[in-house]
Amino acid sequence: MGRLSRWLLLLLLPVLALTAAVKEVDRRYQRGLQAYANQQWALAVQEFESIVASSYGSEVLYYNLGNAYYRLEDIAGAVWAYEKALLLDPNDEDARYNLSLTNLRVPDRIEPPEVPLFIRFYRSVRGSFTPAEWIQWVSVLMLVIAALFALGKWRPRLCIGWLTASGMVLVALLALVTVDSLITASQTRTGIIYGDAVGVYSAPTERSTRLFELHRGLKVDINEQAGDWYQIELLDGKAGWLPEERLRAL
Amino acid sequence: MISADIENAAQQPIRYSMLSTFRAYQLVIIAGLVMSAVVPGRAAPKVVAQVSDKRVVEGQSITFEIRSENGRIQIATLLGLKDFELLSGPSSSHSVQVINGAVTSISSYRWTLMPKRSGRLEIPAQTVTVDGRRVRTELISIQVEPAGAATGGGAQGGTSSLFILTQVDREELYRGEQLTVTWTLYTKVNISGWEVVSLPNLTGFWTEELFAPSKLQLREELIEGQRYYSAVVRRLALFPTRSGALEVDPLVLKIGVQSRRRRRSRDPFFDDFSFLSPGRVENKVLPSPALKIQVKPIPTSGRPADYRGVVGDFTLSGGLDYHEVEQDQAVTLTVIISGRGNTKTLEAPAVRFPSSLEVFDPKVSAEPSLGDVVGGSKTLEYVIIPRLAGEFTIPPIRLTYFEPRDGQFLTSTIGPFRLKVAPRPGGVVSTTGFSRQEVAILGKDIRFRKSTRPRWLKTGQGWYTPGILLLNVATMFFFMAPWLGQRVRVLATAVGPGLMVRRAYVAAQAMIEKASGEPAQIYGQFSRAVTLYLNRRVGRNDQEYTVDEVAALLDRNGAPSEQRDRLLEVLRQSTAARFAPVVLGDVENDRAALLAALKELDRQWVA
Repeated sequence: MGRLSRWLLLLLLPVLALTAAVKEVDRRYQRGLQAYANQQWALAVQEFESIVASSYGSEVLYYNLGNAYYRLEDIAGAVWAYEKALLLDPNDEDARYNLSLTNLRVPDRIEPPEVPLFIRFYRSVRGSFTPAEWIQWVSVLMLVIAALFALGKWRPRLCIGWLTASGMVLVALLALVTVDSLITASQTRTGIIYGDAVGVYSAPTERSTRLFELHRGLKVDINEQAGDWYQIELLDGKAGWLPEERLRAL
Repeated sequence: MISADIENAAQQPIRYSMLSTFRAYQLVIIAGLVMSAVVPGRAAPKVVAQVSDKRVVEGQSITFEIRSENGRIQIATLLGLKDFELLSGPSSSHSVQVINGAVTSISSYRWTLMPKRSGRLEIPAQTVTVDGRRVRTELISIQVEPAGAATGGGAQGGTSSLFILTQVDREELYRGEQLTVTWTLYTKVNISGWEVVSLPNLTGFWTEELFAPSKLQLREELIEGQRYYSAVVRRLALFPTRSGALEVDPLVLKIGVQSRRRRRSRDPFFDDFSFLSPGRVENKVLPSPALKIQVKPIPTSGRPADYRGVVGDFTLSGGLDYHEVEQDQAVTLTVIISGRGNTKTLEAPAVRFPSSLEVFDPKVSAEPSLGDVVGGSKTLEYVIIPRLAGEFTIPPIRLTYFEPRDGQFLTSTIGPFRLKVAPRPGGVVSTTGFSRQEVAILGKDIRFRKSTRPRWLKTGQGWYTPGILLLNVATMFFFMAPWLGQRVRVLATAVGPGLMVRRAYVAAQAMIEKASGEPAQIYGQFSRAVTLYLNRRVGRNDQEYTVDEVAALLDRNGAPSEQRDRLLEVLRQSTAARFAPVVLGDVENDRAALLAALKELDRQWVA
């Protein structure tokens, strides 16, 4: 084997490894779907979770994992998987429907504080795309505006200056939403409570005061992590510490 | 009493010179006699240090006094007190006595001291300033007897006529079990007042006060044939929070004792309890003795898994107020824990409610028991709202506790409780707790699995992908394109017109070769190609030239005449053909002729 071919092989190795990994993920997914079709919910969960553990994900995978958990009556697992699916595709109507159905079986119901209408509207606009989608769409729009700008300069008689200017204002606004979406996504960590009657403590130790109790499937904000403990906050502002194994981060 | 005489300046002999006469000496004596008749008699100053008692029991305080007659103490500080603790002082007083015409002024400083240990202790000699002179007192020795040892379930502290007894109901107990401690004051002397100086720290105990009188309730008691007055000063219930040897540390009292001794002087400090009392009031600081308690840990053998550290004797009771309700109708589950033990720190037993019951945090109320045994009842009221119809069972509630009397673990159980929830009439499954959208999907099933092929994403990847980078680079290019075009034009001009001239024939050739359509259109394009060629060659920007104009232009710019004539001929033919019907073969001939003529001209025409 010549030196050149050896180098080429070395360069190709990562690509080959990546392709092999994706193939393996596909195989596991098919096995999971097969188990699901045979109503072997636990086996389906096992296959789907093995994909999650190998750092691969997809909204379809999380959706089907949520369904398998739901069939197993694992409410916390189902909520986690549907929330994960919605993180990747906020407009997945099926995942949203199944999540609201699962949430009916979550014992804790926390009333969120009243938010003004315009903030709710803004949040729904921001939440209609993932941060990655926001970047993608704003980039495409910026390219179109740039092309219009160049065209306007090249053929001044077309009179498309106003179009370009209003397009630029729109892009600037959407860029702000994108930045906000990115910051929110990177700063907000959420998780799902696992286990029944999970004690929330005043400090990261079981010797501290037990403040209140939470139950499986509740979505909470994670403020910080100290060793094996998470500091969590509920929608109504209550906060406290709970052990790591009682929460699965999203 | 120890005394120390001092030199007096007035007593020193006065020296007179040999010149002083007998008369003068006589005068002085007479003056002295006269003065003694007018001014009251003044005795020699005397400084004394004294203590109230030279033989005391450990824990009994003494009063130390420095007293000066006929001389005012100006500065007095206590130094070198190793064996004593200063409890209070100094308090100073000054008084004048006239007895049989003899005037005595008395100045005194007092301190209250507490011996730190038993044995023979010493108050070292002190130096005081009296009327500007420094005077030294003598050393005082005091015999301090050790305090009596603890006896039975208690110990006494103080002297035989006044002491505190600390009594406990047991000396060995389990962690979390109640220990009752009583401090009783015993006295044979009259007491005019009392106050608690310090309460015990009681480290390692959870404390509950049982009795704390504001007034002493004295009663007569006979101890070893001696008549005493006794009064309970404080009673506490203690619950050890850890096992091992724990100490009930001393409670310290300050007691005003009326002494029957003859009053020597009126002292504002010591008479503050009662000015009318016949005797002098002396303050005694009295600590109770400390007691050691042995605390046993809760046994580990036979300890049930659900044991949560409850010690005492408890019983569970309670139940649901309704057993059959309609959906969304509130039901209350009452759990009462009653009995003997520390109910305040008692952790409520866990109740495992079915998840379809909405349960609010319980309302907790406590009713303490009367008497010296801590206990009572703790009531927890859980308000339950069944959100779904059906039959529900609240599993049994268990409270496992350790009964210290028999030393065994016991469990009290209530339940299970059955609750029958009838659906609400009117069809709607539920209204409260859920939103309208949620009500709409109640009882429905999840949507089916998806069979679309997943688009695999490696988790933890950043948002900025190479595709986005490419888009952004293209955007930058478009934004910069007008500016870049300008730069290119400027560059082309700078490179020189030569480039345009050199490219003139190529551009015209391309145009001629591409010309297509109707013959008239083709000839029109030929004409534009020639115009383009000429414009580039001579640096003009005209729209179109006539054949004559072309001839003039070529002449002016020194085109070779042979090639010039050839091109003009082709142009004339083309112009004629442009406005007259021709066949397609002529067009192709003309195209070839024009190309050849232009090529020849371009080759020969040197600008």
